Amino acid sequence: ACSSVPQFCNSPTVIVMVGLPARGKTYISKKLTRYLNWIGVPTKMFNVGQYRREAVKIYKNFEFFKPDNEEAMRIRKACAAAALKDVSAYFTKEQGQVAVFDATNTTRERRAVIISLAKEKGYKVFFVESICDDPEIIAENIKQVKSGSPDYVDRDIDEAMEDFVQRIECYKASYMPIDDEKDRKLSYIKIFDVGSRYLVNRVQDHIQSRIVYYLMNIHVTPRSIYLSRHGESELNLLGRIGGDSGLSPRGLKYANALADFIRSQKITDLKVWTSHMKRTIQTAETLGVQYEQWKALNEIDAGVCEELTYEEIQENFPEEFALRDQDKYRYRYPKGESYEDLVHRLEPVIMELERQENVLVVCHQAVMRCLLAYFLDKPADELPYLRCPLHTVLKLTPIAYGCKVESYFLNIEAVNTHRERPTNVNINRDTEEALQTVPDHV
Amino acid sequence: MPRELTQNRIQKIWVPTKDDRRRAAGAPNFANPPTVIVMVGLPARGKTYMSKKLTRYLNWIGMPTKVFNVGEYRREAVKNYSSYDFFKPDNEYAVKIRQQCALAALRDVKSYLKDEGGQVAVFDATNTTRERRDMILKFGSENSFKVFFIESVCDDPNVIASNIMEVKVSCPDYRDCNKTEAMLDFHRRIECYKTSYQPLDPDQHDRDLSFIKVIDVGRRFLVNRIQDHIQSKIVYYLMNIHVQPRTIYLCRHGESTDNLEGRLGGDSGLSPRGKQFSAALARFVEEQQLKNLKVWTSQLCRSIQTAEHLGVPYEQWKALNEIDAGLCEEMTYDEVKEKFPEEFALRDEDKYYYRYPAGESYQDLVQRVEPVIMELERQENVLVICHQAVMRCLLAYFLDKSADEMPYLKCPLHTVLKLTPVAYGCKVESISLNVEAVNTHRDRPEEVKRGPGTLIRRNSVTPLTSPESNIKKPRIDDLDEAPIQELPPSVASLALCSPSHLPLALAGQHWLGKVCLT
Repeated sequence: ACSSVPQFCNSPTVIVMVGLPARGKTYISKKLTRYLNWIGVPTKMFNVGQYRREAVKIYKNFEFFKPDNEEAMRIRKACAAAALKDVSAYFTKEQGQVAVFDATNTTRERRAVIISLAKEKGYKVFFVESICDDPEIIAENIKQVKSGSPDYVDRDIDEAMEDFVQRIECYKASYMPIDDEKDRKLSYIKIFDVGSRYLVNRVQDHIQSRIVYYLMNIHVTPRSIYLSRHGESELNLLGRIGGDSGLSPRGLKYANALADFIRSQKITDLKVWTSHMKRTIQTAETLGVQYEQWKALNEIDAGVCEELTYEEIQENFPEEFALRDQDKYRYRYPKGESYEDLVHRLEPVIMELERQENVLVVCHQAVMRCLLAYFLDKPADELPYLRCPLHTVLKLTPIAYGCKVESYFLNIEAVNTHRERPTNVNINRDTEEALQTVPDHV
Repeated sequence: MPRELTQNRIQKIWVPTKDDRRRAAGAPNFANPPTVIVMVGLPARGKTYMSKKLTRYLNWIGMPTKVFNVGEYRREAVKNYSSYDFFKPDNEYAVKIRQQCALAALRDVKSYLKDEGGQVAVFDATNTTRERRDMILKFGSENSFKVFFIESVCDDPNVIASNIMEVKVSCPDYRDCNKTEAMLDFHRRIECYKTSYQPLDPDQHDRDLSFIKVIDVGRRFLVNRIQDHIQSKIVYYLMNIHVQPRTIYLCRHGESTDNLEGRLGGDSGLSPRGKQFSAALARFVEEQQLKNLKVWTSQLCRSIQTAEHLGVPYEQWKALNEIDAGLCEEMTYDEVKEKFPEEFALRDEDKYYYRYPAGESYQDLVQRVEPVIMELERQENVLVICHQAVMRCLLAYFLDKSADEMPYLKCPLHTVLKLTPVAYGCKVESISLNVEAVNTHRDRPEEVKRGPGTLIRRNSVTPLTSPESNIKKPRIDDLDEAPIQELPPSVASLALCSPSHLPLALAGQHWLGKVCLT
C-alpha cells in the first residue's frame, strides 16, 4: 500500500531513555510512542522493567537493585539483552521504524552496548536523558506511578515510597550522565527539570527533529481538554454528510446547554477552538467568550460525495462506498480526503493542544475521532469507528501514564450519525447489504 | 442570544455580522504580547544571517516581524568607517556613539511594536555584555514586551573566516579595502569584543531568561524556558535550518490537457508538449550533475507523470497539491465569469485572501505548505515539481515577497527556477527548457475596485515582505554630537549600508528576480 505522506525514515531508529528512576522516562516513552504511531511512524516501546518482572516473578525490596547483588545484576543484564533482541525483531520482522528502549541506561557501559549493537545493525540511535533533582517532583512521580506498580501491589503508599527512594540510591553511585565532551558525537536531547531547559546535540534527521520538537512542547501541568462536536446541524437531520449548514433547533439548544455545562465546570483560562464551518462557530458563539477558528479542524472533505446521503452514495458510487468500508482509514473520497489525510492535517492542532492548558475543541465527527485516537492511543483500524455522538462532551484529563475520559451527554436529543462497518464490504454486494448500518434520518 | 453570523465574501470565513468588514484572521491567534528577539554573539557568528532568515520566515507565516540592525544605525551616525580602532573598548567617544545607536534602535523597536502593528522585533547587535542585555530586559519590562535571546557561539576558525569572506569583506565598511586588509581589520574588530564578552549563563545568572544558544552552527542547542507558541516555533525553525551549500529547483508539472483547454484545477494528465517538457527536465537534471537530489511532487497526476520521466525515486506530498478551486474546479475562467460573476470579481479584488467557494485561498495555501518549507530547510538538493499557486507560495518565502505580490508572481510552465542561498539572500536563475506551452498567468487587472479599507488583524497569515530598515534619513538630531569624520575623504565612504541589498552587490551574480517575476 502506498503511503499518502512522505516517508522520512530510512534506517530504523532506537530511542534510548536515560535517567534515574522516577524521572519521567516511562511517561515520556509512552507519550512519544503514542504520538509517533498516531502520525504514522510504527513505533514500539520496550520497557526493561517489564522483562525483569517476567524473569523475577516476585519483587521483594530495593536490595535487588544493589550494585553488589551479582545474581540480580546477571538477571538485569539478561533482561536488557532480551529487550534489545526484541527490538531487532521488531525492526526486521514487524516493519517497525522506531523502538523506544525504556530503561535507566545510566552507565556508559550499558549505553556503549546499545551503540555498538546499533552500529552493527545499521540502526540510528537517539538518546533522551531526563535530569531532575527537585525532590518534590520526584516524590510526586513516585506517588503517581510507582505506588500503583506491580512491584508494590501488596504494600501501602508509605512503604512503597520508602523502598523506592532506596532503589534510586542504588543507581545514584554509578550514574554517569551523558557527557557533553566525551559524548559529543552522539545524538541526544537532555531534558532538565521537566522541560525548563533542553540541551540538543546533533539532530541527524527529520524524525529526530520532530521528536525534539514534540518533547519541547509537552508539559505536565494538570489541565483538561474538552472535545465536542457542533450541535446537530440541518444536514445532520437529513442524513447528509459534509456541507456547511447551520444548526438545527435542537443543535441550538445544545449550544446553550454546552454554555451552561462549561460554566458549571468552572474552568480557569479556557481556550475555545472551532473549525471554519458555520455549525461549529454557531455552537461556540453561545459561550460568549473569544474563540479561535482553525481551518485544520474542518470536517473531512467528502469530495464528490459532499452533501449526499449514504443512500445517494450507494446509488451513485457503489464501488467507492464498498472500498470505503474495506479500509475506512486509508480510503480517500474522490476529490476529497481520507482519515489518514486528516491526521496529517490535524498534527499542528495536536502540537498546540500539547502546549496549551484548558481547551474546548468544538469540531466534527471524523476530526473528533482522530483527536480522540491520539489521546486514547487507538490504532488506525479502530479510529474511524470510534463513537463520537452529537450533543456529548468528552472531558479528557491526563493521569499517570494515560488519559481519563469522562463522557457527558447534555440531554438534548439528536440524530445518530454513527455508521458501523457492514458485514459485507465486497464491491459486488447489493444495496441492502451496503445500507445495512446506515443510521436513521429524515 | 447568539450573534448573527455572515460569511465574509472574500475569505468565506464566518464572522459575527457587524464584524464582517474586518479581515478575519486566517489562523488562530497565538502571539499575545509583542516579542523582542535579542541576538547575542561576537561578530561573524551569523547573527544577521539568522535575524534575516528568521524574519523572512515569520513574515511569511503572517507574523509581522522586522529587523533592527544596530550596525546600520552606527553607519548612519559615523559616516566613514576607518578601522577597528572604533571598536576598542577604551575609545570613549565611540562607546558613547554606539550606546546612542542602540538606544535609537530600541526607540524604533518600541514604535514598531506599539504603533506600527509589529508583532516581533529582532534586535540585531552583539549584545555581548550583561549590562547591555539588562538594559534591554528593562526596556522589555517597561513596555510589556516579551524578550527572547538567540545567542550564537562558534569558535571554529574556518567557519568564522568563511563568514567574514561571505558578508563582511564586501560590506560598505570595507568598500575601499582589499580582501586581505578587510579580513585583518575584521579579526581585530572581533578581538575588541572578546575581552568584555559575557555569554549567557544558563546555570546561574541567566537561568530565568528565555533563550536559545546555537552552538557551532547548529550542531548543538541549549534551550532555556520557552514561554509560548512563537518562541517554540522559532526554536524549531532555528534547529532545522542549516548553512550547507545546496540548490532548490522549483518548477511546475508539464503542460496538462486541462491547461490546453484553459481549465482550472482538476487532475488531468500531461499533454504531448507536457511530456516533451518532462523529458527535457530529465536531461536538465542530469546536466546539473547533483549528488543526492531529492524529488518531490504533489499527489496530482500531472505532477507525478512529470516526475516519472526522471527515472528517479520521488516523494509525493498532498500538501503540494494545487489550490483547491472548490466549486470552480475544472472550469475555464470564462465559465467562472459566467456562472459566478460576483466571485470572479471578488477574486480580482483581493486575490491573496480570496477563497474559492468550498475551496481554498492563497492564505490557506501558506498554512498548508508550511511543513514543506520546514522540510526544505532541512534538506539539501531538492527538485519540487508542483503547481502555479503553490509555486508562487514557495517562491514568496524564498524571495521575501508579500501577500500582495504573491498571487501575481510569474511562474510559467516549462520553466525551472534554480534557487541558491547566497550571503543573506537567495540567488534566482530562471531557466526555460525551450518547450512551448500555454500561458496560464493572469496579471493583476487594471481597474480593480479595491474593497473598503480592511483592517488586518495581527497574525492573520498575511505574508509581508521583511520591512526595509528604518535608516532612510540621517538621525543626527538623536545624538549629542555631529557625525564623526574619522578619515580624510580618500578613504571615506558616504554610502548607506543596507544589507538587504547585499546579494545584488556581489559581483558576477545573476539576479533575474525583480524583472522576470513580477
